[in-house]
Amino acid sequence: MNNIIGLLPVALFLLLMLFISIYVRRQAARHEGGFIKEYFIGGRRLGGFVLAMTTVATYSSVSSFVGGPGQAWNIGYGWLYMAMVQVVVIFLVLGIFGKKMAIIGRKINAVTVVDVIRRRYQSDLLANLAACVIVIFFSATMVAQFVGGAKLFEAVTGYDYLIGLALFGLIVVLYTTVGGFRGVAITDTLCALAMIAGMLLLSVGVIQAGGGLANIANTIKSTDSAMLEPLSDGKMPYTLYFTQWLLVGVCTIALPQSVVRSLSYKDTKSLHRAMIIGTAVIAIVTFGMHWVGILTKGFMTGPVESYGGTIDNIIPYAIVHTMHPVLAGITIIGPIAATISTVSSLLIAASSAVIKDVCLNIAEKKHRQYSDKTLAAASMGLTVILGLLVFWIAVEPPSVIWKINMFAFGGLEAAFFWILLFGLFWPKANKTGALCSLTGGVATYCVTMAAGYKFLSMHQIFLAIIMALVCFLVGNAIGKPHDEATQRLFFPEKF
Amino acid sequence: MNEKEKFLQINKEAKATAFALLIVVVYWLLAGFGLAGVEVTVFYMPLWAFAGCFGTAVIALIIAVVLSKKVFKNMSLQAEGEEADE
Repeated sequence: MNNIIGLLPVALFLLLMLFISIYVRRQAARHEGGFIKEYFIGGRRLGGFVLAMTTVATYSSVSSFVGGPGQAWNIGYGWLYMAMVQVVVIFLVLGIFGKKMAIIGRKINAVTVVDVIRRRYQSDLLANLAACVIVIFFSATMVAQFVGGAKLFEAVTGYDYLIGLALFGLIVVLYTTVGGFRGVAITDTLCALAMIAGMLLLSVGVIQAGGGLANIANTIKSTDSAMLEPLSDGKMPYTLYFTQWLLVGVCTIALPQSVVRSLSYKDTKSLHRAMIIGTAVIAIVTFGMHWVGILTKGFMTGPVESYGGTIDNIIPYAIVHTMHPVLAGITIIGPIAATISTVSSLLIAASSAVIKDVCLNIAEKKHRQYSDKTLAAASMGLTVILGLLVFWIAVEPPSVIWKINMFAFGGLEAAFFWILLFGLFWPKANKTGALCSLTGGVATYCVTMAAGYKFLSMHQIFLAIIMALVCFLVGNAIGKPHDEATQRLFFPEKF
Repeated sequence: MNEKEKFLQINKEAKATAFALLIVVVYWLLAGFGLAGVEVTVFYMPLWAFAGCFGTAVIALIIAVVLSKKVFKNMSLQAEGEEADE
């Protein structure tokens, strides 16, 4: 397409994000309570709708729009069936951690997940390790998101990779820096709406291009009937289904970027509303986008080689070949929104890990006090530097981007799953167990991923999560239980 | 609710959420793999796909509504005796 029409809708959307974050920043200046709480957790004032949308938008990334639906084109209904396990993630994380994190977070004035972990296990070593894991894995994920978004932008608009990357990459870094967590949450809300709009537009285009649903169903049946089977002619073994329940279902409750949202909402009514709205939105986006991926088979019947040799080209190809340039320009806001809403949340969380979890903790130990002005300059300075660094890495993209993304995803789950679950619900869980679990889980995941080793031919998350559990229990048996003050803080019902 | 009641209620809610997960998993298994052999088409897709995919989305939503409205209870997020900071 390569004309201004393709560029304009995205550019306008990005400008809107920027204006919103500036507005949010000005509003925030009116609230008392200290810069750090306002900037990194939005002053704990999120309502139910925004809480739901920001949790979904953070979770749904560019691969929900490109890689996943591309696989659905390739594999068929089995891939959609597997993707649907994600419908549980919102009510799980909010239902299990939502209230306890919120109450304890208020008591100890926590603005990060690591704040809570530090208080629960009373270990600076554990807290620092956790902060490191967060910064490294979040950065890798951000790069992968940038690369995915920019590649899609290039494929759809015809503009160079770098132009797309510069356009949305720099703006997302800028608006995250200016707006802080509250800016991220509100822009996320618009991003989630843009994702739904993009999905709806594309589904209309794809159904028309395939000659209607009945026609598409016939085309699929005659060209690739394995697409109609759950095991898809051996491409979808049962073990894959099982491990995906762990990787993109159950274990996602431990992702720090999701859990931190439990510290940000206003009251329990908001939490309850968010569980319903969030589940509805993730169900619509997950079902819709993967179904669209299957429907593209209605007019894209060639082998993957005819679409550039990678399934990542399926959705961009479908957008370009089924839609009027103006509509294509509007539709592409969806995947770009999915990209920037994930990046913004990871960026503010990574920045909080460095500033709050590491720097301010050291300052506190040395009894140093800083003015809000200094804290603001440091927090915003660090956010922009971290963002630009990630942007710079994405300019020369590494080849295995989707792998890195999944590497980070499972790594974070292996690190935090038992620490958070046991930390909040098992009074006997102690520091030694937590340290063993974090190191054992992450090491197992990274080593088996790098070596390509699959225990019982199952995805690496299976072994990693079991090793993290075993390490926790062994370490816990060696270590000592925590003092009564900690027990009373986290488990007052036991006294 | 006092502090103790709140935390007991939270434990109950967490358990209910875990149980809700179990219901979704069982439904997903029965509706998808369970119906995989049936040669019926609903809304231009195989019955197992419709029930296992679209159906799972509906079940998850119903469960989220039941959890929020029936199981989860409103409570103050502030500690006892403290004023709300807003």
